[in-house]
Amino acid sequence: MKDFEDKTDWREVLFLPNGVFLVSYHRLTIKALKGYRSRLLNESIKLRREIGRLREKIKEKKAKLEEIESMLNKLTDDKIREIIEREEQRKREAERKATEFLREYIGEEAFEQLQNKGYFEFTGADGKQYRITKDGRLCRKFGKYWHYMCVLYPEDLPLPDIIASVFTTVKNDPTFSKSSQKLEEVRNWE
Amino acid sequence: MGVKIHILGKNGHETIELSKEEAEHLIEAEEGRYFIIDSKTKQILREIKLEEGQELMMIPIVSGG
Repeated sequence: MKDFEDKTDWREVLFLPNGVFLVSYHRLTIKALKGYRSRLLNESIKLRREIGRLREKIKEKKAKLEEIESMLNKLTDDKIREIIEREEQRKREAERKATEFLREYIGEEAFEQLQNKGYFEFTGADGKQYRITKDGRLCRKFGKYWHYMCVLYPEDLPLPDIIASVFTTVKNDPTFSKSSQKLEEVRNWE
Repeated sequence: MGVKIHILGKNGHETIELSKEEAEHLIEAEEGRYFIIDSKTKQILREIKLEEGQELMMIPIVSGG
């Protein structure tokens, strides 16, 4: 202990089971001691306030969770399940009817092509070659290549009806792809 | 006898039966949103001249390019 009486700063190396440590000692002045104590006090007040805020937040979240869980319970009720099943059944039926309609509407050959190749081809009202894929996307032939076109679909239609709708529009409206025609003209002109 | 109209909509294929006048009004009101197609010939009706007992389809028009 006597060795330390004159020392204010020193370092030493410690060998411990979990590694080698370099420990440095620094004697605090009274001013530094007070400053350090005051910093710790401020930090502890800050942490207490933060904990208080977090507790409030937890309380709010718990209330919200309870509300959501009670709503979820209501929504998983058998009656709701029945409504969902009925709606899904209605959608399946609509899809089936729409598929039947599409088969009749575009013709057996085009429908087979759609089923087997994933698309069918036809000539549009503008005399150009078009392709509609089974997911309802429209392509137009530019030279050797097929380009996907931008189509705004009617809201929430069954997929076969979307295909029928795209087919009817392209087949009957020569002005449908005006913007694409302009693009083609520019390309040829260049 | 009236006019039978099949509408392709989000609720599936809806079929309604209207008088000739009512059907003409409906077609006029939906002009620009639907193609009106004769169910038998699959041809688009270019003008609204309906006949009793006629069957029509209303197919939504898509836009784009």
